[in-house]
Amino acid sequence: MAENIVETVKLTKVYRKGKLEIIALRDVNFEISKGDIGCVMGPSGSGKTTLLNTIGGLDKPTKGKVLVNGVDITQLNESQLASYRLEKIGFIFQFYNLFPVLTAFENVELPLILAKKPKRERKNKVRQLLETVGMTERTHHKPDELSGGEQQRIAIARALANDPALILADEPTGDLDSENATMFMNLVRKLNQDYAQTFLIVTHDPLVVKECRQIYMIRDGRLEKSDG
Amino acid sequence: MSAIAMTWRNLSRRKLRVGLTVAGIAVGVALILVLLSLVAGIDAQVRTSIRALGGADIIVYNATITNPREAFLLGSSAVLNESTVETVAKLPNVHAVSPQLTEVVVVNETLAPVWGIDVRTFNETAGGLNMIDGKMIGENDNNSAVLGKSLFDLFNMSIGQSILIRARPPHHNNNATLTVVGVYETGVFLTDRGLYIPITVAQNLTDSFGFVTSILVKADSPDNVEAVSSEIASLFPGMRVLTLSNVVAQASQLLNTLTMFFGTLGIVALVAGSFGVVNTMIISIMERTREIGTLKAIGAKNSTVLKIFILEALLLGCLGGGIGIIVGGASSYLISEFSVRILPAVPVGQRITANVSPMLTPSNIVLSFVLGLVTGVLAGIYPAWRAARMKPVEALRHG
Repeated sequence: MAENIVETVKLTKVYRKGKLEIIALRDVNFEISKGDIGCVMGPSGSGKTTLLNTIGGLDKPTKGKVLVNGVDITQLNESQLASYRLEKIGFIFQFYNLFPVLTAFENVELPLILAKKPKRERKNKVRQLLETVGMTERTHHKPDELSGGEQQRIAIARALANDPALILADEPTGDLDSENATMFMNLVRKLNQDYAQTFLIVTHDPLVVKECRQIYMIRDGRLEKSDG
Repeated sequence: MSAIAMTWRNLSRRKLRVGLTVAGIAVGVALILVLLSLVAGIDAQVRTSIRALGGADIIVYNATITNPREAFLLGSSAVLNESTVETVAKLPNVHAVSPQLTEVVVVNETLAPVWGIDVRTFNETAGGLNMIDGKMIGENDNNSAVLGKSLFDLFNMSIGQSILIRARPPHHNNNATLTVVGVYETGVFLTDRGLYIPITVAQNLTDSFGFVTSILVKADSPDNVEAVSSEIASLFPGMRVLTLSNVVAQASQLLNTLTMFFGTLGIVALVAGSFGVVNTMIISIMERTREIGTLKAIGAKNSTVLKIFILEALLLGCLGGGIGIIVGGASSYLISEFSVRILPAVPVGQRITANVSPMLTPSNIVLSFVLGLVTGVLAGIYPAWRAARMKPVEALRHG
């Protein structure tokens, strides 16, 4: 059996909105192993993004554990969580979230700077990553000079910068046309095949779902495994 | 990519807003620099005034001539005569009196201020000069001169050499050749850049026989200085009578007025400027909420986010300080150019010395700049702290 990268134990998240109590996650037990491409589907407001954010160390659960290599990250303080996100997780967003003042190269370089990597190493790594995502020719372009598909590929390169154990993507094709969405998923598949890169993708795009090996559904905070 | 380059690019996104914010700080810095320059100028002036007194208690001179430009327009007319000197000498409680004739002359083709003195009474009244080489002019010696250190060094002279002194128009045909017998040093720029010669030589040069420009007076006791000075003032209403204490009083009054004016304006401007920084930064942080969320998501610590925004405030302060010292420096320069009209002249008893004019010193420039910087950083702390504390999930959800 492949090693688990992340395992959640009875993960529960409750939001309070005034008197109203919204349960985003109910006792969710979930695991993802190395080399998997998992996807989480569900209606909006069902708790998909909350699951992703909790695994990514952006949000704290009300109850339960998130075990990463046996360590419960829900017990980490803010600074330790930042290090966890930096070293173990890569994030991809629906609207790419590239920094508009930085070039493609600099956007990819940023996580390496945060990880205090030496300049030469950064330069080589960024070049290699831009080549992997097929964006070498756009090295010195700013995000507003790139198409949505191109921006999302830069975002993938950025997510890969510190060789994360897991890449979390929240509706990554939500803002792309089908051609670019296909291109995005081809890249995901290639990274998965060549480097055994693990992905967890929140989506409702059938183009994405068909590439995934593990498919989960969330409804009212409950997670169910779907057999596709 | 450096952190500063990134900050700079982030600031460049909002040129107008950043420009206005920077201008706010710059105004404060400029006002403070002008103030500091004026204070430095007055300080230098006071030193010169005190130096003009030498060891004397009182200096008397004509009140209508207070600056070199005016003196130039009026030619070199000496304004007191020797009978005034005698009258003053006969007043009660006066220990000694010494006449001076001050002029600008051409020494070896270079303009320099010259003090014509009566050596015997000068020594008695002002306590002589601080000689660092050679000796003072002899009491009945009409062929010698002593040079200030800067002038002496400028000519690269040695003791015993001669200098040629020529008067300026309309007396430009008059000249005198004197032997340099000594070098003095006072620490006052203008004095050290000039020379002392016998008063008769000075009077011959300017065709002002029997006239002097100022009178130095020594009272028989420090307790009688005020009495003697008011006596002189009442006898000669057209004369200005200056004592050490009223030089200082005059200067400190001027200092107070200027400090009140520029200091208050400067501080108000800086406080307003700092509100501008707070405002600009808070708006910028609100606009960039999602970027802050992303930054945290990819692994930036709160302290890193804090540093990024503090750096931005620092850069605002830096720009404000930089532009402020340029504007303040230029204003100081303009004020000193037109100081004759703008500021009251503080007479120093010598026609040579100038008006109160701002003096730019490196330490004041640095101080004003740092003030701008500190304003920026202090104002940036709160917004930066807010950015650092944002919850990443909420920040990412932000449109």
